[in-house]
Amino acid sequence: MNRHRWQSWLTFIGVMLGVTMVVGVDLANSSARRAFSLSLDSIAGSVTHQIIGGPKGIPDSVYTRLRTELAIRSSLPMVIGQVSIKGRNFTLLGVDPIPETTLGRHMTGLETHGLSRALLDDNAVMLSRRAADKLGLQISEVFELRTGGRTFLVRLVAIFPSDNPAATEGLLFADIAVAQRLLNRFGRLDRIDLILDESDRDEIQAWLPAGLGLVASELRNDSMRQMSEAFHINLTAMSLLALLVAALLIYNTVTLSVLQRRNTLGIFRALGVTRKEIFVLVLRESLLLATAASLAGLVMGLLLGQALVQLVTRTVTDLYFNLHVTAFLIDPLSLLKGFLMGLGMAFIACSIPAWEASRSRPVNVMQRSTVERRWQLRLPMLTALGAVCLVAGLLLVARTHGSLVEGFFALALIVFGFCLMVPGMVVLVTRLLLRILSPLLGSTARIALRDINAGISRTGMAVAALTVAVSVTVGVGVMVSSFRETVSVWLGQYLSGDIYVSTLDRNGSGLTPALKSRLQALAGVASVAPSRIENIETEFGPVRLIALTPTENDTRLPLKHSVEGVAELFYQGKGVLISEPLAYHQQLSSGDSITVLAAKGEQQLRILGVYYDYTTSRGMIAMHREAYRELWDDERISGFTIYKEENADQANLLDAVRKILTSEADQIRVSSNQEIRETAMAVFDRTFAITHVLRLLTILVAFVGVLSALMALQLERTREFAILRATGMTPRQISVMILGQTGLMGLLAGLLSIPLGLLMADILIDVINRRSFGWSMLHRLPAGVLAEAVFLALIAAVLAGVYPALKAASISPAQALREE
Amino acid sequence: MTEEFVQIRNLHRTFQEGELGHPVLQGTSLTVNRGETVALLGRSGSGKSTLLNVISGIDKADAGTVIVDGIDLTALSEHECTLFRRQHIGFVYQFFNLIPTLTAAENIALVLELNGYSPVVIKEKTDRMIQAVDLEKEKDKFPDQMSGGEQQRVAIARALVHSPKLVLADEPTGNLDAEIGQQILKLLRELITGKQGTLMLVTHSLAVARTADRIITLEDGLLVEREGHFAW
Repeated sequence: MNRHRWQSWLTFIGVMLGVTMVVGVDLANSSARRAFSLSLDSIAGSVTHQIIGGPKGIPDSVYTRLRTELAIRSSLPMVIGQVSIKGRNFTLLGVDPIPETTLGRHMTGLETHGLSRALLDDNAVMLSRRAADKLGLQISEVFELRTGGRTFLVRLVAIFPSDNPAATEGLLFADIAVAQRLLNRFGRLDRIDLILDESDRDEIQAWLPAGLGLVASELRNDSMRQMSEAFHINLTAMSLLALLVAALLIYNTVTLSVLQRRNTLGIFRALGVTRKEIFVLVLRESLLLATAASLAGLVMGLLLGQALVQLVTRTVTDLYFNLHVTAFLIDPLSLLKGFLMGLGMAFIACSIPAWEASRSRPVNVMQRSTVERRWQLRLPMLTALGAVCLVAGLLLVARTHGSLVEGFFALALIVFGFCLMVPGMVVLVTRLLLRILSPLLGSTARIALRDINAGISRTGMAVAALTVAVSVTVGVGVMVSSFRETVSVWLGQYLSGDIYVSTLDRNGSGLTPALKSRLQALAGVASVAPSRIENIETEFGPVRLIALTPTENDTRLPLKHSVEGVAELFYQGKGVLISEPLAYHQQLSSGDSITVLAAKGEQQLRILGVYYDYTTSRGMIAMHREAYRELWDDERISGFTIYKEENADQANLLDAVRKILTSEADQIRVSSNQEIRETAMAVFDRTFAITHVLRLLTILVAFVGVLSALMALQLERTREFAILRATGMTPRQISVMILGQTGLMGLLAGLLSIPLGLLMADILIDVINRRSFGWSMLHRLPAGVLAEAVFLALIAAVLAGVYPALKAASISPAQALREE
Repeated sequence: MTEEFVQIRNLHRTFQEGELGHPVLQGTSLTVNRGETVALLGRSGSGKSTLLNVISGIDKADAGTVIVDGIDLTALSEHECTLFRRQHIGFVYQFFNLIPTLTAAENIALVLELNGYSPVVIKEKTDRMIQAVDLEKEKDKFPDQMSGGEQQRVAIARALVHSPKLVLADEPTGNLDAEIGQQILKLLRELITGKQGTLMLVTHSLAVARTADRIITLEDGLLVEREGHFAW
């Protein structure tokens, strides 16, 4: 190890980067998962069941009756909403402090005098010690709180030391009445948490008024967790890919270390060292290095995880659920997993050369020609095996309803299969080039080309590693740009209106029929369509519902399969449309029905069709506003879509609408379709920011792989370079020859990465994304991504070739020939 | 009339072995005339190969001068030295030192390409040389597909194809059996004589050395010209 420091360093860096990726992503994922659980649990706690209501919530009286009529004491009423304090987001929990403290759920350690004051003061709120410290607030301090576009002054009356500071640091507590006032939810509860046994459950079920439901809280939380699970699986898959690239790198460097010591190993064998002892010897020192590198990878992974957790939690918040917990949690299991994976990967990668070293006869332990001859002999078998893996992966992918993990397994098979085929393809291409270009090629070019073939065990692996890494760039790049284009096209249809008026208040206060008339009366307004967005309870858990009044030629709900008569039935309120993710995940299609909890109890709604929607992967239901009003007895409005007359100026109209709503500017938002589009695309780009980081790291690992392969080649060809120098080749010519060779390897990797990358993109689009989120996407082939791939591979290879080229050029021919 | 073609004056070369210096050439001086064949004899490690390396410019002397055809190689830059070598010197090694990824013909053509000859001239000269070393059937074979004798013939062809003024041969028969060695040596002499070239030959074998015009031994880093009994 000491004699070949650069090589040891390359192995070290390769393993370290691989482990860094796995640990970093895993820690970010586990932190986000913990945050998800804590955020859910901090609201749900140890309850077994929940009473839930429709869009209007649960009347206060239900709670009182529950305690008096059914004598259910373990019941906790709750009002929940999002608020902002000093620019930080908090989840406001309106609770009844007496049962809360009795059950010891959140406010453990709350002092009695604080409690009594909380009950008396109608502006009183409570925070955990950590939250108060973060905000720099003291007891009795009055501060501003913003919610629903309005600002309130509240007083901190109690600070409690929580048993679980991480879980409560994003929570703000208030008495139910205070929370109802702040959140504009007078007389309404969002839910009632219960701790029940089986008999109570049946009793409550029978007792519940129409429009309310009883659900098991664990099931509900699970369905919430499952939503973001796909996102985490996607990230994990990407980090494992980096580990695969790192494995190729280790294989390369360990083989090289065996080659370098072929004489020593040969002498050992001649002296009677057994095959097993040789195997253990080679393996032991590689594993020693891998252990040190894995430990370094853990440290780096901690740093990467810390950086990634912000990206991951932000994405989860954007896409799924408001995470009020953002702490970076170090999961020892993640560290152990990363460490063992690094070591395991190193074990597998170096077992092959160690086994080969142990199998050789004493006279020819791993001579280069021996290794290369074996490789040449194995190439057809390797290529065939690769083809088998590739076909198996493709067959697996073709299955319509497989799981996400199965999808990733198929993708891994395809990548691995392709990887095995790369050396064969490299040999084929270089042979073809030699044949076709033969009259034009000089000896230098021939040497460069034939050396790629002659050292295929090394060059093939390097090209394979680079191909895989760059194909990730192609695959993810094509997928992201296809997705972006899809969302952009969809937004064009969805944002068919010109101006959008929406409220931050859940109750839609301020958006009234009178306001609609005023807007309608503005010059240049063709029509104003009100809509309502609410979360409703369904047989599949909470689902977002959009109730709208479609206009003629409305494009907001683009149907997946156009069916005659659907529009008429929808207008008549005789059914609903469901979004693509809901249809995919629950395997629903037109003609089926979906059970919802309406004001009058459970109702079955007929599904008229499936429409494209990219607002949420949780799924959506769209129905006519009239039908919604009838089912939920809800007149409230969440927003207006304003359609302008053809010749009306949008900017002027926007000003006019804003003027009307000046007095309520805090609460009501007015945006042009362009502004909404820009915001949506910004969220989209933010969501995929993490993929850029991971792509870059994968390329970095591949770069180290190519560098190690080239260093190995350079080392093995020292004599050849010495002969060339002695024959009259200048150092510059040697450098150009090596750079030409690495450039060609890079070009090959770049070109080979295109078919693999496109295949990967197809699988990501049609299988992974579909199984993860239920979305279908357009397929786009951006020329930029393909050109970028070739360029990236070329640059990575040429850069990796610079040092070996300089080293080779500086060889002292006399010394090299003498040493041989 | 004899013309001094290679002039070596007071050459010193020491190799570092750990912390110790191992002097190989200690003020070596020698003159070789144009068209002459000189055999260099000496024990293993006596510095014979080092002397050839310094003369060809692939190794640098610590002190002293090497003048070949009036050009002081020790005063040339690395780049100039390389250009001089590719144009005026041919080298034949004991272990052939062919490029494993080039065919016999390509190995021979390599030096012509490096010298910038046109493809037509390269083909013509290469073919002629292949014919001269009787390798027509082997010209498309790679080194590992040829016997030792065949490989050395390719090495000789490569060393002579650009008609160098000076040919340096480092134990050209050392890795071949006696019969093949004799054939190779005969071929080398014939081809060099035909081109009025100068040959410096390093060998262990007195029989081989005796085919030369002059025999010089390298002892304790100094050259001694002598006839008669040799200890090795």
